[in-house]
Amino acid sequence: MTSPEIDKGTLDSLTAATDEEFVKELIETFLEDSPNLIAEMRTSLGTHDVEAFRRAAHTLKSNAASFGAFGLSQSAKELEMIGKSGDLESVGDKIDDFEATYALVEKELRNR
Amino acid sequence: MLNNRRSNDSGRLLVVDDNKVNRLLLGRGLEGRGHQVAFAKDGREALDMLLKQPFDLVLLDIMMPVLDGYQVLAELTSDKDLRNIPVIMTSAMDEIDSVAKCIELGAEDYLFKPVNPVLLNARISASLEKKRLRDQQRELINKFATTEVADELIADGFELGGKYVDATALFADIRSFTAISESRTPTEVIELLNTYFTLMFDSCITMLLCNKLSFLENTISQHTILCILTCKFKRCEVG
Repeated sequence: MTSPEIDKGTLDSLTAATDEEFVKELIETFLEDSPNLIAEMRTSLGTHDVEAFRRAAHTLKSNAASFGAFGLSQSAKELEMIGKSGDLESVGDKIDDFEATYALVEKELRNR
Repeated sequence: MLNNRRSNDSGRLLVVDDNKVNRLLLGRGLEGRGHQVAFAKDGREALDMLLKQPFDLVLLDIMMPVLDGYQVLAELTSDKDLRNIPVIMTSAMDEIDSVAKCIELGAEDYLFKPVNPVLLNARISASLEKKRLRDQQRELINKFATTEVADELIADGFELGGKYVDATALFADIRSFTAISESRTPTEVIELLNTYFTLMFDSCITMLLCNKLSFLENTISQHTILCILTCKFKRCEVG
């Protein structure tokens, strides 16, 4: 089965550089933190807290890249850019789209 | 000294990052290299830890809540005791402007995230080695200079002179100065020299103002006059 969301090479080199147990812990942390960060983006959108929005998107971007989830990382980067511009109105459905991609990444990570 | 070298390759490091995944990744790589690693979740926590315990190096994230990387760096570089700790900034690839700003603010180096383990180790080793040399240098200088002088020497280096100025050097010699100084008391000689300097300086200023062309059109505001008087003092007379 192919992994359309996660670059296997990235995840393999991470495992090679560390070990399986550590990668498991890292994935657990990512899956634990990401829903909070997504919630943080939604909350800060409501309160117009541009900095908090940008920071949450930034963390998601960085973490997704660490696991080779480059599509998800790119989607977070777009959200981060919106945060940087300060124009939170233009977020639109982008958080929903991000969350949909995240669901795929989560599934792949859990089934690996 | 050489025997300690291997154990000296490791250090006490502080990793400052609000992102747990990054803390885990960095911590893993660093502990594997034999470093002692402590973690802080934000800038405030980092500063509290730095004030309480000694560290050899700080890995500092830029974007953080409470106090961000810039604020922590500014606090560190303005603190007399903490500014000697090298700081390596960690940031996302698209924050290159921020990185430049951090280097200007006094950061030692930077690393892009996700951090490449080979680069991480190379930069940490280089920074620790530099710190070790600076510490040794400081220890040595402290043996023969006051703390203030030692700090200044370390900050500015050992070059002769303080700064470059645009100057005209005037060399003058007082004829028969030895004979003059021999027939006067040291106080009288100093008074004579002071009078001489005052008169010479006044006439130089007047020349500069009245005869700009002959002084290469330099105005007084751009010019410094350096007056060097060569004279021979007899040691016993000067004391």
